[in-house]
Amino acid sequence: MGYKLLIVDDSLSMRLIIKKMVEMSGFEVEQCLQAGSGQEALKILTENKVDLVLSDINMPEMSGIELLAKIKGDPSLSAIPVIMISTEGSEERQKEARDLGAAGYLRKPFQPEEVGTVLQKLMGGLG
Amino acid sequence: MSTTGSVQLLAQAAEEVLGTMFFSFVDPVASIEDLMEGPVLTQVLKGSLKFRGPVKGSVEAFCALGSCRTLAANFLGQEEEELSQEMVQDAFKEMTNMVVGRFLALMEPERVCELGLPEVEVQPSLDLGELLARPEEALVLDAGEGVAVFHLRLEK
Repeated sequence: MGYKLLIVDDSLSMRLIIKKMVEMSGFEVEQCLQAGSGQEALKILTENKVDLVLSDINMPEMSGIELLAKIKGDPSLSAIPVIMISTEGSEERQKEARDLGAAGYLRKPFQPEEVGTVLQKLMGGLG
Repeated sequence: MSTTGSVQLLAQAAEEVLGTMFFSFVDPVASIEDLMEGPVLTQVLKGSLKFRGPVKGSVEAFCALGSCRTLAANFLGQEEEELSQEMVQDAFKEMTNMVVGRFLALMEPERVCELGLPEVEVQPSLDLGELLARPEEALVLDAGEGVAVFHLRLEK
């Protein structure tokens, strides 16, 4: 029995790469949903039971940080772990994400092993 | 940091991103004088991204469309002919985004630099001589599939 994932990124190619890397990492995926924006992600989250969100930060209209704040501010969604993905890897940015409730942080570029490490660490908590 | 030092960090960032995500191992082009006198390239993708904060400026990336298609195929693990023009452009936009993000992380590991949104467009032609008129701001990499040119502008 795998997990239901939601990948949020305005870039279709990045969504495909993230999905591929999650699969290559050995993380058990039952279903992989995709959203091209924060708004689309919130709609999917209210209509589906999602176990884990992986979201880019640098997106137009609603940034990943804003999406994270909305998820954590909504009692019906706040328990969903959110992993932030970004080219921005500064300590300050990672702290901002952690303080808002992010469960993990992946800095692009990354390898499947790094994705696996973050997901496996989280999987214990999910289990 | 000097512009030359910054361009060296940009080269490190590009090597990491192209090697890790695009399976393309790059070498700096030793002499850009030959390129400056070379022909004008046609059908080029231009990726651009601005940033501000502790480090302020912009990067433009240029690569021939055919080479971009090869890079995109490597990135996505698909055959070149399977890729739409939109996917090729999206992959090049992401490459620009990742290179600039990594460059800023090398320049400023502690503090946040705000990235703009990456943009990509097709340019019918590119005059390398004009682009390389300020060689200290330019990085020319041989990515195997073709030459990739990065142009860094830092504001004081």
